[in-house]
Amino acid sequence: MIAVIFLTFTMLYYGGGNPIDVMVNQGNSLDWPQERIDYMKERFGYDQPFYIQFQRYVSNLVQGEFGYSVRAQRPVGPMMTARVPVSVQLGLAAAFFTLIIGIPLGLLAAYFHRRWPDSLIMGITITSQGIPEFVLGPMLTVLFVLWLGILDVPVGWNGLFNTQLILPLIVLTIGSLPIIVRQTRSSVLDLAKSDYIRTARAKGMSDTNVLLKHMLRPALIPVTTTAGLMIISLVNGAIFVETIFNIPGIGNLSRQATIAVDYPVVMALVIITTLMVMVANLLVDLCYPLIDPRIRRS
Amino acid sequence: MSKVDSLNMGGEPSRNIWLDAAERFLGNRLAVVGLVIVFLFVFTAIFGSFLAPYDPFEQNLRNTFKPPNMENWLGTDDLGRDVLSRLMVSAKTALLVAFVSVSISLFIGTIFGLLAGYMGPKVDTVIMWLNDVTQSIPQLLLAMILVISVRIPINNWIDRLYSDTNWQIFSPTGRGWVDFVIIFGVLAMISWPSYARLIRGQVLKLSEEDFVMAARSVGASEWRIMFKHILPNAMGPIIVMTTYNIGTAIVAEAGLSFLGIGVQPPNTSWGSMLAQGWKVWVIAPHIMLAPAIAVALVRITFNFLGDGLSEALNPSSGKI
Repeated sequence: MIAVIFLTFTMLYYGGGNPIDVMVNQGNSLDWPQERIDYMKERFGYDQPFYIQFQRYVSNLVQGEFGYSVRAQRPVGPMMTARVPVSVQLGLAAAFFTLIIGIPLGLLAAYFHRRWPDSLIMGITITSQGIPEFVLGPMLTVLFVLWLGILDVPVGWNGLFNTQLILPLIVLTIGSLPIIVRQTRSSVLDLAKSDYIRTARAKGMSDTNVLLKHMLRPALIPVTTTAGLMIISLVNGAIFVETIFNIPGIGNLSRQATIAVDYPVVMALVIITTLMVMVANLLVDLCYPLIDPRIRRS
Repeated sequence: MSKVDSLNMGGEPSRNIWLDAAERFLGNRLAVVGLVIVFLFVFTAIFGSFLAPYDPFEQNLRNTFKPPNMENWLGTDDLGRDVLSRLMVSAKTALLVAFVSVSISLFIGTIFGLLAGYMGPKVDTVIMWLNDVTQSIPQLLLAMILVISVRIPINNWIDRLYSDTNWQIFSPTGRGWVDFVIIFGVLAMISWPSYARLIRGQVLKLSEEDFVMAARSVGASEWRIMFKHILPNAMGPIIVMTTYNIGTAIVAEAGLSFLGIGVQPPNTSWGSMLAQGWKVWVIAPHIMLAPAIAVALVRITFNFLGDGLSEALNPSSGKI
């Protein structure tokens, strides 16, 4: 985490110089006198050498301060607190749907291994893996809104429980679904070779019972491992989905900040996103004992 | 060849692993279809600017938002430019970015992977740490940081070069290639860890094999073992991964351009076409659908190709 902060800070410091210079050089309308530039630099501490700036940034960060965006002319902290909940809700909802749909699909595919439901599910999975979010979003919108006329134009954010969010959630879910489906299917198929499953079958247990009572839990262990991948893919997807559907979350903000070359905001976004990914991975780790009793005992 | 044939008493023709693989590959119908589409794509990308029916940059404001018709097969966009021509010219961007960035990342990843797997635990730790750091940030965000931290210094540097040399390619108008260079670098930076990881794993696995020990016992140098014995044997997985990664790189470039931080106008890209079309999707969905379908088609094609190659080059794994 500290490595991420340090690397990002170093890259932005040496890459861009200070935000004031960038602003003055880019904005043609800004013809500030040199005194004003110097004053602004001094005021925000951009005239200090690298290690002092870094130290100051970290100590502010520890106190929960993300600094001040000179470009947006307001502190970064409130910008974040307004947007993070939106993205977190969206991400959690998408993760929920991914698991709820993905695990059963994977089980089904494994249950009908090498028969048509398997080929169908895997075919759709492989195909949908090839369609990136920024292609799927617009295409589904044209399909559902323009041609079929079922949904309204999904733009903006009015809380989680709103029909506007149907399309964004579909797009996000489909984006991360393949990981879960594939992993569930292959871990069930791996388990099918093990001795205790053969024993259960030999006792005359039905296939469905074997699948749900003996295989579901152990098959979920590898799936939890891929949850980290799912989270990363959700974050990537969120940047596109929030841009496409104009949802005021951090994905959308990160695009705007990148185009506007707004360093403090990008910096804060990197830190928050990395933190969220880490917390999510931690939560996943904490879920292990619930699924796997062997870990609980040790 | 004939000597081998004459030695082969069983009547079976002599086998070569690459021929075997080609045979298996051609037996896979989806993969062959994929190969054909890839050829079409590469052909369009190389000759697109000659084949294009219209000038992709020519605007005609009396002829905007036309749906697909006989004159403009895929219609015209908001400035009256022919969508098909733009699509064909953009294929060049996609191919160029994919090819160059994948080559760079393959090169870096191979070197680092070999070093990590071969140079002992210290180098391994450092490289794998770098690997972990780059992979703990979501790739797209990493790309954004790289783009914004690199674009300004490079442009400043080229400004200086221009004032020193006065060459046209450094002038503010002739500078379209800089975007490409930035995208190449950024995409390579994002994707090299996956190669490094793969090759490191292969090296660690293959170093345990008997033939490596045999080579070592006859006194082959470390470099020779690395490049003559280990790398050729790791080739199969590397080829498969490269195929997938070409598709990924095309999508990544389109994605960055879609967000407005990739290829900038006047250069065209499927991603920026998609972004343009998305602004006017209600009145003219075809502007957006054309590049969308192109991106998805090429990506899916490369995925199928990768699946086919993976089965062909690695027969022992069989079907999952």
